[in-house]
Amino acid sequence: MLANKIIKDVVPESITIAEDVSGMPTLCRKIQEGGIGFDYRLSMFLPDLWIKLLKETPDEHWNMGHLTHSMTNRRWKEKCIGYAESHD
Amino acid sequence: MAIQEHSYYGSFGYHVTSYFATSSRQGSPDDFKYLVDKAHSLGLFVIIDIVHSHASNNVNDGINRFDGTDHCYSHAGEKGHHSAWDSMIFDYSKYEVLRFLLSNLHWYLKEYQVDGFRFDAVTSIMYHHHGVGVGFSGNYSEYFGL
Repeated sequence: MLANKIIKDVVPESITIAEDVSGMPTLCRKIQEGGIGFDYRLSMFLPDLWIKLLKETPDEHWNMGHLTHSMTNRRWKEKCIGYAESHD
Repeated sequence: MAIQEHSYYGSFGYHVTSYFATSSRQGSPDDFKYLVDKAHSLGLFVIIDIVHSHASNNVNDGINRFDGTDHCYSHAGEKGHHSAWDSMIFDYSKYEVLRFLLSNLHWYLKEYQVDGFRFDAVTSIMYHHHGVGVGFSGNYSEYFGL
C-alpha cells in the first residue's frame, strides 16, 4: 500500500501490477477506499489453464463454459491481466 | 523475469543480491536506459519485475546479514528464512526496510524512467504465513484474520 502511494506520488501515470495467488480482496482498489492500491492483478490461473488444456485436451473437447468462467472469475471492480505465457 | 542483479542464474532473477543494480548479465545500466528510451520512442510502456517479497540468502554479495547480525533487513532466526524458496524474508516493520525498498522504487522510476512495476509474490508480502503450505478457498477469514 505504501509502495503504491509513493509510486503514484512520484509518477502519477505509472502502473502497478500485483502477482498474488491468494485472491486478496481490495488488492486493486484505491487506497482512499481502503484498498491496497494496485492497478491490476495477474490472472495467474490462466497460463496454467492454457498449458493444461493444450497438453491434455483435444480441441473438440474444450469446455467453453469452464474457459469463460476462468477468464471472468474476478473480484468485483478489480482489474485483471489475462496472459498466455508464464515462466512458472 | 526479474532484472535486478542476482548471482544465482537459476533463480530467474528472483534471488536478488543487489537491489539498485540491473543484472550485469543483460548489459550495462546505460544499455537498459537505451532500451527504455527506445521503447518510449515507440509509444511503449516499460514495466519491470520488482522483487520486494524476499531476497537472496547470500551474505557476501547480498544484503542478508548486512550488518553482521541475522536481523538487519530480515526477521531474526527461522522467521527470516523463506522455507519454500530458501531465501531471506524482509521485516517490513523495520523503518530501514521500508526506506530501502521505497527508495528502490523511486530509483527505478527516476533513474531508469520505468513506467511501472510488476510486484513479485505479493502473497508472501501480505501474510505472516507467506502463503507457504496454505490454500485459499475465497473465505474472507483467510484474508482478514490473523
